[in-house]
Amino acid sequence: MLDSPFALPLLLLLGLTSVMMLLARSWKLMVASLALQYLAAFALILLIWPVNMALVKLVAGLMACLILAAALWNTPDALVDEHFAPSGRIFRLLAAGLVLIIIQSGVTGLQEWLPEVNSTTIWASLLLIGMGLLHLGLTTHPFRSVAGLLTVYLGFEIVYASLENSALVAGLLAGLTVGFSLVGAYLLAAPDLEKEPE
Amino acid sequence: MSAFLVWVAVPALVGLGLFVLRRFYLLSVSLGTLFCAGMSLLAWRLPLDTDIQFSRFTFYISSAQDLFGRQFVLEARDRPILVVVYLLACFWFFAVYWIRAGRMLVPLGIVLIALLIAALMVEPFLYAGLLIALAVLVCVPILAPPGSPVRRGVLRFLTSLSLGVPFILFTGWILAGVESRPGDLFLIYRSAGLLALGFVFLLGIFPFHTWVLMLSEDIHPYAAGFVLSVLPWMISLFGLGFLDHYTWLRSDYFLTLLRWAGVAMVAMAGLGAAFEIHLGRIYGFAILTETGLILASAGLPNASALLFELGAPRTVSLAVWALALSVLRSRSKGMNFGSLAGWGRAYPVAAAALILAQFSVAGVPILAGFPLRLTIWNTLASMDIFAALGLVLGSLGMIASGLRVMAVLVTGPQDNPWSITEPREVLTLMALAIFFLLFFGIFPQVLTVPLFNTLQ
Repeated sequence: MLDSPFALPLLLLLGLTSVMMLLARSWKLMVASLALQYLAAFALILLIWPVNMALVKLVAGLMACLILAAALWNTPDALVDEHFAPSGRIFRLLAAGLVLIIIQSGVTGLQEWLPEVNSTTIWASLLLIGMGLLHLGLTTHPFRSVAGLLTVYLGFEIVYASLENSALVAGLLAGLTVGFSLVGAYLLAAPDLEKEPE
Repeated sequence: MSAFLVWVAVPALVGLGLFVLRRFYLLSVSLGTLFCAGMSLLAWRLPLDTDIQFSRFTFYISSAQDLFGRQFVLEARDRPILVVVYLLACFWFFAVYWIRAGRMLVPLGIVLIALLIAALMVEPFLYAGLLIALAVLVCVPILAPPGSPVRRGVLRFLTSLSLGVPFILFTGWILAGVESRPGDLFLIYRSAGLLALGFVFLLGIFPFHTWVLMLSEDIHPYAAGFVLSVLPWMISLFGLGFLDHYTWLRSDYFLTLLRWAGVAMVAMAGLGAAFEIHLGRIYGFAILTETGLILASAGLPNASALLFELGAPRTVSLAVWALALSVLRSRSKGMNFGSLAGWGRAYPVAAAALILAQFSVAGVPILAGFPLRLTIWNTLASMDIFAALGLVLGSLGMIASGLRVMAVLVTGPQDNPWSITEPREVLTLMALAIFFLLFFGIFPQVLTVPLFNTLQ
């Protein structure tokens, strides 16, 4: 079913990191998971794109992680409001399992739609999009929302890389990745910033 | 020089410059307003692809600009849009200082407009989705100014609009397949479905409309009004590009679907407003009504002209409404009916502006919103009487809501005497706003004829 010897480890890494982001309470663990996600996505995109183009995604992703980490470093209590009970974690884990089942049933359909995209790419893409959407649906926290959006976009970028290899699109998507993290950093800091005089 | 440089790069740089200068509030607002007026004038008068003699210098502004293998082209049909967009921005920015709508609004508003114009210029136009996503990011600091808590509406706004972009990009890829296999109905329906989903997210169409109401409830009405007025209108102009480029999208089936989606939205928003007791949320329903009207117009035969002409009256009505709401919000403890009971007696001019703006959105005669609504109702009635009745139902809901607001504002717990207590500068703005609402309603040709001529 999977078309590369690296496919399974990469998919497992993506699955693990996306679930880790869903369950983690520590922002350090979340940012590290996000960075690993970008690394795995880079390895997957390398199968489709030349190194210099694929590097754009990695660099933009790691920049986004750094920006978010810097913002969270300055607001260490940012995730205090988001602490959830152990039962909450079990619920999230079960929800992630449900998403996995939905993805399993969706892969075949999408493969018929996109015969030129290999199955590993489709799996990785749907996995990230599904987990990202789940993350977005379960949070009202700026950092988690931005992390969810970055995950959804990374999933989309993986599949879109197989369909479109324009430098402008790659550049704009990289700009968006950094833009999301900047907005996330701003939203984390905004409440504590000095109110501008009226 | 290129059109991209003049109407995108320079405004973006000016916006960033004003961002640095935002501590000098009056200066940055004044410069931004004048700059937008100047850009509008340039878009109207400056010829493209022709030598321009100015004193001893000769300029040449090319309509196309290459960037990373793609082109940014200002087509002749886009120039009227530039004139109107910058003029409307000027209209919005004019009052920012007096009602304290935030120091980010003018600088980032100019960057927002530059990005949206770039989205209209990019070829192939499907890449516009990415520029729209960047524009959405620019809106965030406008909606969540420094020093205030981040509201849920802002996060929903960011999430919803960002999720729409991948659908548009993906549709672009599928549409390329449709062009090579025009008879493949399955491919056509698939791309239309994805496109519709993309615009449902981008325009806040039911059931993904909750962020509109959340924003209008929580955020400064003027900042929310600016973003929610400019963004959907420009996105709908971008959407019109799809109807222009792909003729199969203009089939009766899709246009009827589009019209009914718009009608349902107007009707539901009108009814929602009629039962709402929060003034901010009523404003949100008005924005949904306007979005619905845009959709309904897009399904009519003369969609381009209608959509283009809708921009001005909707801006006048929504800006005046936001202005009046801002005045009341800055002085009251809340925006619920209970908190604002009798406030019309203390702020009669603001209350009058608010009610007139609401009636204008409802399409009441002699107000700015009426003439174009009449055209839309007439055209729609000639095609589908039930759809036209749906629009009228929405308007009736909005009128009912307006009457409730009027009753609440003039009947207070105590019988306070009527007195004009608005500050002088706010009073002048309100009087000017009411004048605009009535003037463009009584003499619509002043607005529509030049717009139509520019479009020609």
